[in-house]
Amino acid sequence: MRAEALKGHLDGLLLAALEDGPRHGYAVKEALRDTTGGKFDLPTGTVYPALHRLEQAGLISGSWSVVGGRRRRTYELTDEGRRSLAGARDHWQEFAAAISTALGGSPWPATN
Amino acid sequence: MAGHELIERHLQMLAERLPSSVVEELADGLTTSYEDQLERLGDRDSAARAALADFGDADTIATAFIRLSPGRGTAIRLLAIGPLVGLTWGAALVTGHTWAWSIPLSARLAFGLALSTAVLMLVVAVRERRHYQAVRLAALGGAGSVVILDSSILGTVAALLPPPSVLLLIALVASLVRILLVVRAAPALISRP
Repeated sequence: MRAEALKGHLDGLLLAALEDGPRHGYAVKEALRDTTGGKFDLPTGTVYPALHRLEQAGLISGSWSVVGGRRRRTYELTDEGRRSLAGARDHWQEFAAAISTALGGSPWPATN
Repeated sequence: MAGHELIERHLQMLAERLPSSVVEELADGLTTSYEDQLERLGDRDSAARAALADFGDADTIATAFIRLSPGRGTAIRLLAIGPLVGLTWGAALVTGHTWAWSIPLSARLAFGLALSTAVLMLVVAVRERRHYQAVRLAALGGAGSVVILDSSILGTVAALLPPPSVLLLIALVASLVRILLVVRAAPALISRP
């Protein structure tokens, strides 16, 4: 799947990839690829600027460690990031349900 | 595990464009990717090519980081509010008959030079796409020139004490706000990432 298809959803996907615990950039990219069955296989280099953007926004925090003689930056969700992920999930489910209904031609789900 | 010449060359290209901490992080990702590919393919050259193909080109990555840089953000904000501040001062000075002020020609020329320098450097900071450090330095220079300009005009007004007016008050506030904007952005501009 092309990277353009992810526009508007990349932040939520990256946050979801960090939900289970801290990961470094390459591991985030691999997690995203694995959880989508290889459909979202972003160029590794493009994941890092996106992670920096999320860090600037306060949604994730990064810390340095040394692994195998190399310096490695690992990211984890902040409380604000968890709230943002929950919001992204709610928004997506609402959006996907509406699109599925419209494309499927079935009636809109009943609302209370 | 030993690296590969192609990987090293790619990292060198990134190092010429981006701050060292960013390159260190990218180097870890690229090397990990290379190691994964080597385990999968069993051949160093094929692994290096596969890792690089998956990683993306240096220009695209550098551009993405530069878009996030505090220098570029500050330059965009200063260029956006510059015409408004200029307009407020223009209106205040024209209605205040400033042509009658006794300001030496050399001071007027210095002011014009500082204004041109500020605009040029801020435009460079916004348009530069390949070198993070160039963006940082251009933004620093542009922001510094803006502070010098605003301080000079505030100092001139304080020295000559023109008749007060609403337009002059608006212009003074506009300059003060712009100075504050630069002061707030200064730590991020000065610190090397």
